Amino acid sequence: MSVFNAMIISLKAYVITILVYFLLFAVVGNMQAKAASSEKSNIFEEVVISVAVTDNDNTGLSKALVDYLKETQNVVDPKTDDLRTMNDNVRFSIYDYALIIPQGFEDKILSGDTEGAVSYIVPGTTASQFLLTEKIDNYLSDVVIYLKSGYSKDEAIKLTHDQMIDLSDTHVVVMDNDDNNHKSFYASMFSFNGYTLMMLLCVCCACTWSVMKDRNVSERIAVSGMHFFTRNAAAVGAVLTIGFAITSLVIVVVRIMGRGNVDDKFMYYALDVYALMTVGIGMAYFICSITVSDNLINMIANMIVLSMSFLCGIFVDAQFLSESILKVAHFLPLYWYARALKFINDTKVDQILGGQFITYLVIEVLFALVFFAAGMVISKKKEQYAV
Amino acid sequence: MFGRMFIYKLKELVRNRFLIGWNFLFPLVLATAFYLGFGNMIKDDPDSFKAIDVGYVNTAGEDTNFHKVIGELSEETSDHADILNVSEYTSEEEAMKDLKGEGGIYGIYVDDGNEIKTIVPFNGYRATALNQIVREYENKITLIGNIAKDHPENLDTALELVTKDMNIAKEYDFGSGISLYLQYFFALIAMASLFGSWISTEMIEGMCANHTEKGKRFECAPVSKLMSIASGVLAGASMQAVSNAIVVIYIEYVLKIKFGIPLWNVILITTLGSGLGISMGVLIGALVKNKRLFDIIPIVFSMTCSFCSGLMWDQIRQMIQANAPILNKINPAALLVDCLYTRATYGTIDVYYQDIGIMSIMIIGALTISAVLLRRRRYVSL
Repeated sequence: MSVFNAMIISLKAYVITILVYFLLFAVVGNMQAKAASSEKSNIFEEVVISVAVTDNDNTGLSKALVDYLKETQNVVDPKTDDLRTMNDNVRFSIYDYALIIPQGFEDKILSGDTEGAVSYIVPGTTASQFLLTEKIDNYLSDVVIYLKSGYSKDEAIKLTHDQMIDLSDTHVVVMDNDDNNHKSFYASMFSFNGYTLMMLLCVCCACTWSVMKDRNVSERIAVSGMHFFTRNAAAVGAVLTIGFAITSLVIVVVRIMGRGNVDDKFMYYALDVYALMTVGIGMAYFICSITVSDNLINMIANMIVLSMSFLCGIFVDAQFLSESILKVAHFLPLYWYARALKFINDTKVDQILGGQFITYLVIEVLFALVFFAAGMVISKKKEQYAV
Repeated sequence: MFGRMFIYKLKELVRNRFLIGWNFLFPLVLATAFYLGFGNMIKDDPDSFKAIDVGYVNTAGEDTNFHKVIGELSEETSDHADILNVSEYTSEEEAMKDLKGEGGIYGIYVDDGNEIKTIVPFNGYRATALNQIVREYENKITLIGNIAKDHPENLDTALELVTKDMNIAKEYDFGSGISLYLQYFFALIAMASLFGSWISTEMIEGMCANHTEKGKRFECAPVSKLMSIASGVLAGASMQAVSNAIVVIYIEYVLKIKFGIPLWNVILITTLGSGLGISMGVLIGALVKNKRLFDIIPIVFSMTCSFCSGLMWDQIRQMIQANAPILNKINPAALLVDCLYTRATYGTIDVYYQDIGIMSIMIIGALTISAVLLRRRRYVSL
């Protein structure tokens, strides 16, 4: 029990590390999950684009265009009149589209010289660029056609506006029945957790283990008369307890954060996270068999876990990774963790518990055993050659 | 004497496994990880608009105008790229089997000659775009109807204009369109540069008699303190500059990700960044008296600055720029990222020189303050 207690107490030294990763998980993970998650809906909803409008003309036609955009899109303040800053704001998604109505715009349209009557700034050829440019082009071309067909300016503006708003009730049917078209809040949150939990487990468990591997401590325990099995069982028990406590805490935090999201698959996500816990502990043992220095443990854990997270689709969705990278990822545990998360997300709740899901969990546990075995081999060799 | 101290300090730094791991290896590993994660997206931006796979079912039994419209939209012309990728189905039921989004079709148009029904698997940009096409088609029908009713004499002019591409909205061209994902690599270089602050604190720690045994020996040694600190700073900056240059060369030539800036220019900027990291570390070393904080503050400083420069979230720097631009002007990592980003996107404009100027002032300021704080330290006993 004294070994067990000593190891648990030694965790105190890593409270800041735990807090930092927890904060990272809670803040970044939550933000990412909220941005990435979506829910099923059978009601058609148009995508609303955030557009920053700079109206340098301030005439009837330019105001009518801005009013139309206000009615159908999210018009925001450009916050600047510098084109370069607007370009940066668009590129970094402060808003999706910047529309600049130049001075003399109305005169140009009325005279029939339409080419380049308004300018826009977009982050390349994107869906938002296509949509809004089409809408603006459509609106202004209608005005021009009405004007050239003999209508007055006010008539052209009114007819175009009414027409555009009337068309909002086009016939669209949404057949949103498949789970795999959406990523739930829990799937997103637990996906980011693949990185933070692995880091927490690797750093905390490896550092706690390294305390016992310290030459002074281990030699004192060795001469204390405590049975070899007892002291090792206590050490393993302590690390498992730390791992279980951290993992459970993470699961509880996710549950609390997602209390507004109804998802009856939560239990399966939790199972997958516990399977990942075994990998984290296994990897911690492997790392601390290489070094007992806290700094080096931190560095090795960072290098392994970060690289693995990028390779396995934790930070970037697997669909964007190349096939060769995905092939390599098959040999990494986080890939199977992410696969299991996707499987839970895409499958109906009564069909999850089956061969495929269990296979994913078993693969994760096998990876944990491989890390343990590798760690034991390294420890033995080190002992053998007194490294 | 200066040369000897410089070489020994350099040797001491190079033999420090911890510094080599974090300052040399970690940026390389992270660059590789970024490449694995974003490499594909730098070459082929996932946000770029691609033709939408859509099914078409004609229940009218004859060719319709809408069929001609979507036929035109599925062809690439000088006015527009192909917008739709149309597959024709004989019935709605048959088309529904493929309506699954990824790996199938993103929508179905059911055309009975009078009305067009759009069926989509889920909401989103593609669904809105498919609906927009129907809207534009119906809009033009309404428009022609109105003109035929009110001004039938101008119907021919209207019909001619409807088919004409007026190019009313024109896009601003800023020249070089570097990928947004390069921002992460710029932030990585900034982070690596600020890791230089760890070199400085490590060096300063070895010069403080109240912190290390080495510091006591240093204080007793009959050498000029200013010269030894200067040689240490230069050694640290050299090591960090070499480390940064290796990272840049690795990204450009091994990972084959082009920054869009001449190599000499990138290395010049990153060398300035190294100097900034080192000088910030010296300032931290001079200000902080607590030994424990010597390790913590440089880590917190470099990671906070890197986070705010967009290392983990590419939007953050621009969000700060939009709401509190002064923070970007005092954050060394954000300055370095902005300098690289501006040079790559807009070339050598005012902002680029402004960034270089601020970084240079920061280096001089930090070293001057540090020199004042570090000179003639007194100890109760050595």
